[in-house]
Amino acid sequence: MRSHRPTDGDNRGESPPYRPPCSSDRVSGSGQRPRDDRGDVVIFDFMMAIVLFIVLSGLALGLYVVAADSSSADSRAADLAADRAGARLVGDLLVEEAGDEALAIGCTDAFFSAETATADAQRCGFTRFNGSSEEAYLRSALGLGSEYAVNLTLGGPSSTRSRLGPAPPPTGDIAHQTRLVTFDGSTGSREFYVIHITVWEVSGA
Amino acid sequence: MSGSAPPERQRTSFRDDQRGFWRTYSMVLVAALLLGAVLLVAQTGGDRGQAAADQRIESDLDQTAADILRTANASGRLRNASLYWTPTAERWHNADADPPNGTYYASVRPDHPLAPIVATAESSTGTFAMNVNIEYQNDGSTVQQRVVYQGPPGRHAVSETYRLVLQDDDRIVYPNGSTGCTLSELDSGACSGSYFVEDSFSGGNYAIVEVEVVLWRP
Repeated sequence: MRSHRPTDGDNRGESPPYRPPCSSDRVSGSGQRPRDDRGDVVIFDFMMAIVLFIVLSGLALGLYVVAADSSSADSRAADLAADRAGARLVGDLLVEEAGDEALAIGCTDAFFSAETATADAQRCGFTRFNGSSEEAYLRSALGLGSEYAVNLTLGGPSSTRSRLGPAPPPTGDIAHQTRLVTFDGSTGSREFYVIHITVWEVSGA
Repeated sequence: MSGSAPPERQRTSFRDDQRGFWRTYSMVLVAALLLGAVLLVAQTGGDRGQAAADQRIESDLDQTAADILRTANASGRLRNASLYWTPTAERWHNADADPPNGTYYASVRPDHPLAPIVATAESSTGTFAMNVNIEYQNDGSTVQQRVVYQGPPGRHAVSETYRLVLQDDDRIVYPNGSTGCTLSELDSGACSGSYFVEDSFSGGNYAIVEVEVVLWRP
């Protein structure tokens, strides 16, 4: 009895026997079925989306920070202008001598009248300010640039004693500073006043 | 050959198809990152705005405290507030009865020398809480005498001080505006009672005190 050796022809028409995968299976383009790499493609797409997202998020955050900085810088500048104007009023303009703690009534009334030709204005040194207009006079006296407008109000808790400058806008970035003051030699219930300094940026300046 | 079915192409079953899983997974991650980025931006913007607002509040309060001291000194009320003392009772005039740790005011009374200044300041800047202390040197150490105490300073508390030189001939001030014994008379025993600061100088100066005003928003 002849022994039967199995040949290739013996398996013809039947499904191939199981064979563990080998490295040659990974070669594509040789007529064999390409490997299933859909998972790699999805991961690659995902990574690309993440990178794109992070870049765009960083860009948006950067733009936001720049815009916020610009806005708050404008607000801080107006705040500083108001602070500086208050210090100049209380420490220099409305006192007889720099360093005095009480305001001089003559200098204060002369300043709020915006008249540089009066005797008090000359005595208090206000003639050096440009009095072409009330706003120009105020900016010159308070050392503010032309991009700012300012309003000053001097009054007590329930009344206004003096006012100078245009009315502030109802909305927008408005800096406000208050300074508590007293007049030299004043006594009684009207002894203390508050100067309200309102500074805002003029659009188109 | 003929009649025999071609080898069945290996297909991935619905159960084994992981594309849906990966897409869902990536969407969830992207959504989480997006939410994180939005929260980060909102938090960053909020913190910056809050920090600027806090800084402004403290700056305004600091200016108010300095103005209170400056105008009080200019009007003579700071000195009067330091001399607003009942020597025989060794406490501030009309101080609140037996407060926990001394003889100070729980708030600025209407008859106190600083009252009109504080009222004017609050009318323009809004209500604030305030402590007023007077500090002086005694045997090389700093002693603090409370004048007004409204509790431990809160958030945004600021402090300003003003140095005052008391004179030997400064007189005790009473609520009705009258004056009493001089500080040197009290120190020497010529008048009954005592002042809370002892004479520190041999000349006309009596002592150097530092008035501290602490403000914060209640």
